[in-house]
Amino acid sequence: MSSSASSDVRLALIGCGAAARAYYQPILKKRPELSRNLHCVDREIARAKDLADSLGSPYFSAHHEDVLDKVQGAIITTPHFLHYPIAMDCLKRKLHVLCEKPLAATADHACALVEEAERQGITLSVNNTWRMFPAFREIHRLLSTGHLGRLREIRIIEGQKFDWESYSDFYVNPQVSAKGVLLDVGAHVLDLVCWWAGGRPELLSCEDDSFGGPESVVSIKATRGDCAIEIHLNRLVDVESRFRVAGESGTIQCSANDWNAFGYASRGKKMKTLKVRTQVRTYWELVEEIVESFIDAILAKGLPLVPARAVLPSMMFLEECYDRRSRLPMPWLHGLESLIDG
Amino acid sequence: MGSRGKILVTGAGGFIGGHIVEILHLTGSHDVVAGIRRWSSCARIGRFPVPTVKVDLLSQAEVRRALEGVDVVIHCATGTREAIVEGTANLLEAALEKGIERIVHLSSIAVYGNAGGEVNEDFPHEYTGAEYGDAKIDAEKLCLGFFKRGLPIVILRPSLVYGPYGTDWTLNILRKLAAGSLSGVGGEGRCNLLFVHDLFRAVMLAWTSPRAIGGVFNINGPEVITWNDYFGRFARGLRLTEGRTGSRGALAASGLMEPVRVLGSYVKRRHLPAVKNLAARSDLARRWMLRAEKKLKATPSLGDLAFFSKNVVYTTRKAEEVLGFVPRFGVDEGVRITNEWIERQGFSFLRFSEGARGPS
Repeated sequence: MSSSASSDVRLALIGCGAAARAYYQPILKKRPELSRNLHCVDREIARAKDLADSLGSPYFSAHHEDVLDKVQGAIITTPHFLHYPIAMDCLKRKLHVLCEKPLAATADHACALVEEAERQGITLSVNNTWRMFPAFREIHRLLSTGHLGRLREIRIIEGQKFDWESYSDFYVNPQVSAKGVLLDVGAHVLDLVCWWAGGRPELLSCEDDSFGGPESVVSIKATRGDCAIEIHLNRLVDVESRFRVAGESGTIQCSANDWNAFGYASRGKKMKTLKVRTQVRTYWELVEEIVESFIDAILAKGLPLVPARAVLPSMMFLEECYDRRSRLPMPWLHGLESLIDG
Repeated sequence: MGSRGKILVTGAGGFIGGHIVEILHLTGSHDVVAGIRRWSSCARIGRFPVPTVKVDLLSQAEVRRALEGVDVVIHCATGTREAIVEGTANLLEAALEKGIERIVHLSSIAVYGNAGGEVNEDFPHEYTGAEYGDAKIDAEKLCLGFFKRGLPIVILRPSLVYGPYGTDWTLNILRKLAAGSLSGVGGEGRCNLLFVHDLFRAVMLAWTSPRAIGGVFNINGPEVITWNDYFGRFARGLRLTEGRTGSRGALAASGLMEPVRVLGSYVKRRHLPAVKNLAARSDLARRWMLRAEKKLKATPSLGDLAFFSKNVVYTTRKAEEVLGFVPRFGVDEGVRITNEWIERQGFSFLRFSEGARGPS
């Protein structure tokens, strides 16, 4: 993307909270031609102004409706449950949209957004950043070219204690949302599984630890053809991030903590570490690739790296997990009544 | 509810506060409000539709607001010295002003410092220079001062609390056991374990017993075993290699890691934003930090090794006589329940039996 071309692009950044600051602020700081025309939008107007000031933009607003006539595209980094209504408003005004993951809080909403974008003939992209990890892309290449043979097993443990300093409470407050780690981290993990396995798995079971509020531990069992799939998500304890993908001809082990390397063993051989060549040094540089492709798409110079349609199988899988979830066995909670009277 | 009023639990984002909120909610016995400082600490209690109030104890206005309509306060919040001392002062001042019926203040056996042998509540406070213990002493002194001004307060000094969601005496021990860093001989000091259910019961008694007000009580488990015994029971329950401390190898590993630990602790305390910034800017730095943290968690510190050989027992006769507190959960039972929880957390050394390791 050349700066002269992108200087013609006017964008809105809707939602000026933690994600906007962590991922988009560094990218936009590098691109004054974009940031000086950027409209920062946040319900907390002071937050919008603060971000606009930091990027050298004079434009800020508390309501996204105020800026829809002034921009060609919007980057949406609001709480999850606001993705759908805001993105739909943008699409109906023929604005190109790059939305943070998850694309929407429900599969119906995600499908409606994709359909609207296609009807309008505009770009709808989603920041499923894990698809940009060089190691994960290489694993996808190996799988899709049959290097592992027929896929037999995908096992994923993604367990990191939640410490995202969100400005709002939507991740964890039961009064705001009843969807937790599955919608948040699961939007990455389930998408990865669908991407690697070549489609939506068949769900066998989904257990979580919710008592009406957003869940923090989820255990999923599924299959895709002959491939057994197990996913365990945990945001209460630093367990680890560890993925294992096994086929008839080889096994891969990797981690979301290591974007540039993975372990590979062909059948009967020892696991060895494969490094993937990349210039990427930070997480937001991965996001930057998605942003660049989004701007290229606005300028009709290319396609978005992660088009929203690509994540629909995982959104549907995720929805099915919520629909069919049951309570994770928690035997340590048995007999609590006996404690009440001291 | 509630015949016994509305209860605010401070520090509800933590291990003990979260446990108390969970039980009160699940049993439906009381109206409970979860007091938290940061939303990011809320992932555990957020699973329950429990009213939650965001309260920074260092803000007098927020504390007053949090106490609206509250009858009883279980004060579990901890943190920095400032949070423990000034936060407690703000809470007590507001509680006195609002006419709170009772406050149960969770202190710690850390107030006894290096005392050894049989330690009861008559033992004096001992400042050691350790931030946590020294701050807890000062917070206790504030509590006793407010008691004299008419605030109905009870102070509990729990021993080493373990159980589901526990960190210090649960997950940190587990990580060391899994890494094999507790192997060798030694570790024959006394291990004063208190299962978290028993602490909950003590809290219930402290807030309901008329004789408790103004009292200070040690709260300990029903048996005091050696550390090695604890490691063994813990490890056997999870089918891990049994661990022992004090071997030359363990000492050497702990000694080698000590400068990293001291430096890391200093940097984390004084320069956390800069560290986070560095991790965000450099993948190499981020991965190095993750590896160092993992290694530190898996290796006992020199302080741990000294602690594992300390001979001290905290007696609970006073709690038995005044509160009627008799601990029910022996170590075998506590470890069994804890391991039921651990087995569902997803640790790969329990799930990936072949033990192959990835590149991270």
